[in-house]
Amino acid sequence: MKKIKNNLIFTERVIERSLGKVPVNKELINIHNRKRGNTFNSFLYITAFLSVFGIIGIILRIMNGFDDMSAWSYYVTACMFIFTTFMGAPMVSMATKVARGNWRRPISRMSEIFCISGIAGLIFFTPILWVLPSLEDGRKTLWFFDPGKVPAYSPHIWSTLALLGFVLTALTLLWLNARPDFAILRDKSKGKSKIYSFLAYGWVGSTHQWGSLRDRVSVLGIFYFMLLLTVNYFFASDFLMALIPGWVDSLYPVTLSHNAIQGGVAILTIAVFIMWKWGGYQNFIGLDQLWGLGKLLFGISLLWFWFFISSLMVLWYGKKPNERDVLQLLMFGKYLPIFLFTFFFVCIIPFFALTLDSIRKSYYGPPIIALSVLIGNFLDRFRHYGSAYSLDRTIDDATHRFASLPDIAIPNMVDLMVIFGAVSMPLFFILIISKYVPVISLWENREYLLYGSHEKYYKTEVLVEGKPY
Amino acid sequence: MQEHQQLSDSEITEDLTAPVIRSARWFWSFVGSLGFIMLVGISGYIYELYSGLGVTGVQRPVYWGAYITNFVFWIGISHAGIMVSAILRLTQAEWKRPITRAAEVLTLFSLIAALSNILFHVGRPWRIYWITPLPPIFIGFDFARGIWPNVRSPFVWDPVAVGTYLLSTILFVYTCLIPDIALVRDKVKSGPAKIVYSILALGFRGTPRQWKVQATAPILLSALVLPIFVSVHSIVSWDFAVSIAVEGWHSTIFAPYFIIGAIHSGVSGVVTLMAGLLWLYKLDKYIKPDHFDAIGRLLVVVATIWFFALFLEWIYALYPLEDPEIALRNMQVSQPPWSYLFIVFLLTGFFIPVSAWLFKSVRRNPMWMFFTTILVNIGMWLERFLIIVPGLSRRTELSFNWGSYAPSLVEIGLVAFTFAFVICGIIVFARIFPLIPPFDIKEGMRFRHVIKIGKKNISAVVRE
Repeated sequence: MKKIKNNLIFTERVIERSLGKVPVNKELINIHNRKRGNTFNSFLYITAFLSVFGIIGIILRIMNGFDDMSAWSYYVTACMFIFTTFMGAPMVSMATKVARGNWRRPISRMSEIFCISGIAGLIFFTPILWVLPSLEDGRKTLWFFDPGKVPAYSPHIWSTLALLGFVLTALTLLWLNARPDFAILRDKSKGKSKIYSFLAYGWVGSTHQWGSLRDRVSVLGIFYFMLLLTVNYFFASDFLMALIPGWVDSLYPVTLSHNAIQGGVAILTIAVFIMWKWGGYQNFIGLDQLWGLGKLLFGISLLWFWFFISSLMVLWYGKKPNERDVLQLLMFGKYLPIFLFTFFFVCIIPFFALTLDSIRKSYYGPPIIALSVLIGNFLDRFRHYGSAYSLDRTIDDATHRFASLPDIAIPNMVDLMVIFGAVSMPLFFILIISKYVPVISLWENREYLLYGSHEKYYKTEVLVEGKPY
Repeated sequence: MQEHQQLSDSEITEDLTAPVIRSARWFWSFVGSLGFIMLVGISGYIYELYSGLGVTGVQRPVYWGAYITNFVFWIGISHAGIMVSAILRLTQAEWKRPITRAAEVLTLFSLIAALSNILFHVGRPWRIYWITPLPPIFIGFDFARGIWPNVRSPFVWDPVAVGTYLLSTILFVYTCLIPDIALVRDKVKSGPAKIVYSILALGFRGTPRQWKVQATAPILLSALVLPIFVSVHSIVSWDFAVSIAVEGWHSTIFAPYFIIGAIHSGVSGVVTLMAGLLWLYKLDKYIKPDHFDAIGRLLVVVATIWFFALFLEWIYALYPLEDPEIALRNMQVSQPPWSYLFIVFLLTGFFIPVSAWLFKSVRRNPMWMFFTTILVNIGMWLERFLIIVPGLSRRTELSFNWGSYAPSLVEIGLVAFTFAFVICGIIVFARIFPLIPPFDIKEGMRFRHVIKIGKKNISAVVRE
């Protein structure tokens, strides 16, 4: 690990700018407008190719029909992975804005750019609506099916509406936050000014516009968080728990939302690392950002354990037949290796590695741990959705237990196409959008120039940060 | 923080050590009144010891009543100290400075109050040591015992967790107190008080090394005490949740639900205490509307998460559509007196206070915050009561066991005792040690700056 002693790289450089040494906007605009290199383009083509591959996979999966739910286990896993990883990343920006953490400024836009992956999520989600059985088959649901009063497709209707709201909110949030930057680019960029003029939507930076921007971003941020909870609540209840007879876990919707935030922090950490290492943003992204994300990841990994143990304790001690079945299905039966790997990648590795200051406070430590979290997150989705969708829901009348437990499904070619497509499509959208939206917020960093200053403090110099209301 | 008032070191020392140096006029009458309530409670306990648990309202099948409700309530309040002190310390929130000590002390006394409820509740308190895994050889020839505590039981985890929490809280409070004890030691002229303060100050002279250790220790302790903080109320929740025999208890969300409820109730308790201190000790130079505003905003978030957990708890209780569970929930919402209590719980625990806190003018008004946070704790006490009692009152299949529960006068007296004890403990503590840490306030003054942006002055802080 490369250990950097100076933990104030970003802030010190910003202060240099405040003294007029480096014009922050000019430098960032230059980086944004530069011609993208071969690495970027290669990566763009690869993700585009894999996304097309993924779409072919979706078509092939649809052509196979919706009757055999077990064939969809990897598909649903991949779709849920998008929502519990990419769509969790914007929460970093929202939460740190509420907490008024200045370290967020260089990474908040990157975090918001992940909102675009909601489109990929919607594409992958749509076919699942046909896989999910209606309420007429007698399965339990939170909608308390009542023929004639509650529609048999309640879960389908409400979850689609929630998901659409979630993605629209995400896109609006991205646009709102980037609007002042579009205005700067409209005024400073050549060639794309028409697009930026359209995107800036008449932004001139009046006091009223700034005031309303702040209010709208706050309200939408809260709304985004609530929708994240709502969407994960649907994914946990009707798309998962309802498919495993006897599984009643009131904590799981919260656990899934937490997993989404954990996955989001992890993927953002990797993105920030890439921006620092290869993106040309070394003047803006410093140890502060990766260290901050590492601390978040550490705390969230501890929470993972707490949520896990809170559920396990109750089900383990309850020892009712249905609870034993659920534990057998998700943890101790055929899915035991998946569970152990999940636990190892999502909890053990982050906890023990990030406890060490030398790893947490480094450039390379947090992204490596984040990669482990992402692998674990995928396995966790597979453990739940894979087992639920491939479960034979027959209950043995004599023992009141599952007649059989499913084997771990081996992915076939179509599954692999879907998985690679699900990972690549959001990345492709992010790469495309990064050509138009500055990946480091111009206005937020410029704002920081007003709030931060270096001042003499007794015999030393310290950073003084304004914390406006 | 927008309201900035620069105070000199001597002014801070004078203001904050004044309650320690001389008693306020109201002190003895206030402590005397609380002492009277405590005396009534203790008399009730002596009567209970003499007569047995029959003097309480518990009866088949409701064996847990006001004492266990009160135990859970005070454990909840005890989460205030760590929430406010440890978490805000780790996140370097500047506004925490005047309220950390009060929150920690509230934790300390509420934990003692919580533990006292267990003593009230057990039939033979002289055998309380049975919960310890000590072999008889260490505790005399108690052959009647002959058993080893079942370490798989939450009733054994409880004393371990709460005991550890109490010890770590004492350590936490004491470590943060040392510079202030040294300050009082130097202010007190002579006599036994000087000797006691000298011993307690552990030779603190304010050398650079001592300050360095002093700055590091609370942060380390904060990090260490956080897992204990989480474990304590999780374990208390498992007292209920691991049981399948009582409807309404066996829910996986109980641990997070209890923790977030505890934070809701505890932080509200801190606000009540802040307002009380503000009026009693005239601390308006230190406790500003800004502090109430910041903690009010925190409370809105905490209360909303708590309400979401409550929603999940209810919706997943109904989800399996099992008749007994539906009957219990039906009883809670439609059968008096539970239905009345349920409405009061919802209104006081969430709807009234949170609606009020959405307004900045309410958040910045100590009087409003005082009343709304008291409402929260009325609601949170009722919440615990409604978790414990209705479920138990349905716990039987034998018709002759059907009964309900109403707290007896003895129980009411002992519940009142715990409230008086906690308030009295804090007031007496404030008479002995500064309840707002002078050293922390002085440090805050040094870290405060103002940055001029255009025509506006923005409060700023030195980043360490």
